[in-house]
Amino acid sequence: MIELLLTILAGIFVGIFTGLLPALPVFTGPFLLYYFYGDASLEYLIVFWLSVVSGSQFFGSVAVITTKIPGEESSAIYLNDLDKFSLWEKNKLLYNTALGSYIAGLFGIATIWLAMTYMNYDILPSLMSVNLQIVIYTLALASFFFVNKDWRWTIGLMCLGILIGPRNNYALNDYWYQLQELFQGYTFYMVILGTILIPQVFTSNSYFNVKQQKFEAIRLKFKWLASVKNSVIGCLSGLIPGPSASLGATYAYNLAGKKADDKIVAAETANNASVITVAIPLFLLALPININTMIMSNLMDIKSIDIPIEIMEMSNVFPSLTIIEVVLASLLFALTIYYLLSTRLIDWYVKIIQLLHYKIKLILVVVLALLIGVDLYSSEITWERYLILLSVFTVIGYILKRYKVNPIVLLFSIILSDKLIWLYIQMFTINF
Amino acid sequence: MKKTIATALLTVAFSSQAFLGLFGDTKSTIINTSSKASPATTFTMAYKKATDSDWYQASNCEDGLSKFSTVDNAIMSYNSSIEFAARNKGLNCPLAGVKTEDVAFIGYTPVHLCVAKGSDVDFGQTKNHTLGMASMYATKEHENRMNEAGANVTIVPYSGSKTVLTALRAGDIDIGWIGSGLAMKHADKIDCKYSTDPAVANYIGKKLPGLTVPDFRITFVLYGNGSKPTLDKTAFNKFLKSKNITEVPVSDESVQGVIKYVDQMFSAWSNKAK
Repeated sequence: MIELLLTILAGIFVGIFTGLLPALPVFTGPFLLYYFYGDASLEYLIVFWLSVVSGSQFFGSVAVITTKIPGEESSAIYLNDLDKFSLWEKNKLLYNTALGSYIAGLFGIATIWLAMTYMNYDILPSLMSVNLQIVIYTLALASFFFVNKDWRWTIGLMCLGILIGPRNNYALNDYWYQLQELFQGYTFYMVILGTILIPQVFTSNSYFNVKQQKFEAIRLKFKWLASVKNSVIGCLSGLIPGPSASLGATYAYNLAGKKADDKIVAAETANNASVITVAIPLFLLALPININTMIMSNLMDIKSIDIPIEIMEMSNVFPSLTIIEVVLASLLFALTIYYLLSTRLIDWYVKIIQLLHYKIKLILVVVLALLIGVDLYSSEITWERYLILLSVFTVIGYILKRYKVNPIVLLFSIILSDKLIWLYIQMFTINF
Repeated sequence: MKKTIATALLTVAFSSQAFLGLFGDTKSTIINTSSKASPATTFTMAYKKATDSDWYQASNCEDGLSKFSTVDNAIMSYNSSIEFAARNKGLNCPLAGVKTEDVAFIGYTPVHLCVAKGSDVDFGQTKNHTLGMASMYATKEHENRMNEAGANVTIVPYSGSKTVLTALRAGDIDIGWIGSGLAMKHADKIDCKYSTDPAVANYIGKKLPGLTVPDFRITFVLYGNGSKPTLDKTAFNKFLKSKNITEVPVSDESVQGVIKYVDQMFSAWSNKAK
């Protein structure tokens, strides 16, 4: 009992930390487990993992709204919208995204429980068919076609993303493979740092207004029905293979009407549901469908745990409950803590920046440097190569900023192209 | 401005170096050349755990070799599939040149050839079937060799055994070339009709006698450039058993055997061999 509580608290701590520190991706939790998996049983591993990913999403939105530095990748879609907001609007946004995230989390938990209890185990594999995946990913990529006014920039950025996006794909022809090797080892945060953050910090004064702002979550009006709709979108998106949380955020964002604050709350609501329901294929069929679950699946392999069977066994902590029931109850507890903290901790978090506001430029440079340092540590490449690649992305970022082109198309082309290219190669080989 | 740049540089250096633990660490460093989510990484991770070593994730095998040559007490985690794939793409990561006394472990695991549960699909039928396998082996030459042996298949490339299993269960492909450990784990969901293990009754070499490299296996080799770390044999052997990895005694012959085996694969399956 005490051990379970400590596991939840450890998950909450790491979740908050990874959410607030933008360089730490949402799969930091499972990566940490690689080093500490030792004697931990299945329920502790899953409780820690889900607590971390939920916390990372909760506090990622706090980080991005207050500092405009995305705490997790699915927030990237609305980065530029934040420029339109006053402090008062941002404070409202902080509360609404926290409540939306909490509701989405509850929907996510309910969806897992329903799936584990009532799902027909034979249905899910057919959802992974190559044709269905191609349709989904192509639509996802196409949805970014109208982000920039000049479609030629969009096409160009998509082509660049498709050229450099694939990883370890030996099915590519030699020229493409060698081009892929040229960019081998880049990270998602390196692309964000280079194309968005570094050009932004060094060419804009918007960051330096932080000293004037006092953040606190303010509750005024909350759209409950919209929150339910976005939670459902998020829950369903979590079942789509690939960058599920980003896709959920994108769909909800695009379907949320024209008001920027509604769109942001929609995106944040959906991605919180997605990061939970993404576990369903893993729990039901041991099928990992994104990087996060792939790492967990790998960890389960190391420990020779057969998730679909063992997760339905009785818990060691509460012998009258199954492991999945203990996991979901623990996650509910963690989400409640996150909701309470994310609507109360904001001012404390932002005050750290405000205390040092008179050196904000220096601080932002240090933060960027720290992000680079941590990203460099978690990347697979030497620091020389990291800096070369980061420089390339930074040059691209400056060019895009110079011509007022939204770099988000490049980010998502890179993310989606790896999966899409595999799928197209497979589809053509199978059908032609 | 100078102060800002100096602070930034110091911060990057401190944050990455502090994390990397470059301040006087004497542990062994195990170098993994496979991608983070691959089964080969699972093997390397098990050895890391059993020896309490540090970890270096190489971006490719050449990067791994470069690291190996610059770090004391390094252990390289080599596998035959990575070398084959690297050679096929013009990279150079040979096992040749490694001294036998530096080798700490050699082991191998076969693959299984599986169909969907209850399917009557088989090699050599009139209808051409799709065979999904990891892209590193999915070469045109490999497909040609299989069809010369009468398999009548079209090879479809995937990122690894797990995605092959997913495609097989989704009905995208007819036959899956799946790592032994993974196939055994999902034995209730698929029918594995053949194995590349010559010791078993359903050996693929019996079904397709003309097949090149019918005894296909993924061979793992661990070699170091310093003292061998203390190994928790119980934990490591338990892992090997769970993944159906057979350990081979280390000798000049077994090391040369791995080198010859990769040469044989390369000359039979590589697009670059001719």
